[in-house]
Amino acid sequence: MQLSETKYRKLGSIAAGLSALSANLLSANAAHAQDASAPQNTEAHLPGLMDEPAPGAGSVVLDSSVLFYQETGGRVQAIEPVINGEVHLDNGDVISGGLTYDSLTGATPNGAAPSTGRQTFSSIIRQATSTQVTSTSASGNSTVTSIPGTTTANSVYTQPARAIPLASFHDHRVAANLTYNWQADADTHVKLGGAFSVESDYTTFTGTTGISRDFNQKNTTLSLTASVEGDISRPHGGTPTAYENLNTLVTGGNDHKTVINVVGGVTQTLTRFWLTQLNYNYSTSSGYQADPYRLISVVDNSGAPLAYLFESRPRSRQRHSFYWGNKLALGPTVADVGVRYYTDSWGIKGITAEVSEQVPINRYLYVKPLFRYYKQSAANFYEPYLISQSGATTFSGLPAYASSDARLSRFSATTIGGRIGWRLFEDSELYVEGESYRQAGTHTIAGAPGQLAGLDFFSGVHAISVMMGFKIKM
Amino acid sequence: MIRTICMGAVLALLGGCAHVGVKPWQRDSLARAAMQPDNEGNISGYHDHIYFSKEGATGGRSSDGGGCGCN
Repeated sequence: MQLSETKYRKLGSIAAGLSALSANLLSANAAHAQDASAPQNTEAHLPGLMDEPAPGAGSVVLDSSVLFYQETGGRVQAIEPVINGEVHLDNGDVISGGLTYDSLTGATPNGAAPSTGRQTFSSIIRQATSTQVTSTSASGNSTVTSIPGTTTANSVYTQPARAIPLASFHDHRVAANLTYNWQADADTHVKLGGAFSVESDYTTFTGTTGISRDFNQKNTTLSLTASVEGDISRPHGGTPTAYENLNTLVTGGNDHKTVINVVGGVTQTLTRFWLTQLNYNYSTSSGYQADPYRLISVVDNSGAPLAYLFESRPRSRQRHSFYWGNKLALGPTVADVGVRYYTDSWGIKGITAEVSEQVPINRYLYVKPLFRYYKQSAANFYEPYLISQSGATTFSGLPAYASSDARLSRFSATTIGGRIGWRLFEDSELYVEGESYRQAGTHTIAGAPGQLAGLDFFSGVHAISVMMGFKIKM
Repeated sequence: MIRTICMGAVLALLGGCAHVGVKPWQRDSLARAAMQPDNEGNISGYHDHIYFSKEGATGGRSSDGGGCGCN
């Protein structure tokens, strides 16, 4: 679809040659034409930062960056350095790959409902020795006390009244990907790639293949990409069964999930200044889809907590996404406008709209303000809490699935931000992007029982992100 | 309904493909890196990671997977 850099330069040479020929034919003064075609200052020929051609054969592109992500209220904090590279071979093939490191720390909602009183979360965990100790666990604020004569211990932490209960955590992730994009003929590309991601309790392997073909003088590109992902969930303390009580010893081992993902798309050049893209994305996943650390409160008719159970989710999910993206060259600026409609078998429907405008300030500097709006409906098994009889210790008649995960609730989110790109030297760019991401949703629950009435259940986030990076083309 | 509209848009676009577009010498603006659909580089990876870990909807742009980090 895109013109390679080499072709771009050849076109430029042809245009320059035609200009010089015209000048010679039309001008009575041949010497004047000769002067016009004489070599000029390299600096003056350097295209503006936003006019740089797409990388072509024989070039290498490196993009290194770091993300600083912070949620307000002492929630999640992340630092994520990334390096990605592309090698464009002379025969048109492209090898691309990257490395990611991710450090996550802070606190995240444990899923329990808030309460008018302090809440204590007590679980039984395995321990290597049977000696009685009291300590603070590696995960943060829990007190771990051995149970005498056993190799188990009580892990306890307490959360303040009226607050969304949080659990502390610390994790890190390493990920890598490698793709070979083969130019099968002048109009056809075939790609084959692999990726993995490893966290202390979660591992993912992905294999991807795809084909794209240009038609209509390269004005139309059809593409089809498929990937298979295998996930291994290895929760600290084991995998709980659905609705297992927090205050029991979890005995479940590792669990798995398989995801098949297919994207079909068409990219179309409409005019000299307008490129449009339509994608349909289907994915189906089967296996363990729950969050192994997430709880759901069981409360009585007065709203008092009776127990904290591990959540229950379906073991399959089908997703459909329809994406329409546009690139518009408006004068010297480039606008990026996209919308997405999403629906899945869990009952979530989502709409996303995003727009950004890249504006050159001069040949060395551009700014890019951006705005994104997102809204989703709740999953059909989203429940902020479950209700049972007063004094009950075992619970029958619970729904097949229930989760209080805010990601499955009804909410909207807006992102406001902007980027500055600065050319440090030829073929390089230093960029900094800052964003504010804020979720909005329902704070109180109509008809909540007893003490839960009027409590703030909203656990959405407000996050600030700063991304800075350096990109160079060689 | 929305699915029907989207399918209609795809078919209309495909049907009109042979009559729209530009000639090779008209690609000056389109050939810029800034006009490529996937030119966001590392920034798009960060966006995907943040939104994937905070929202129920995902996908649409590409099929590449890669880990959880979903706290």
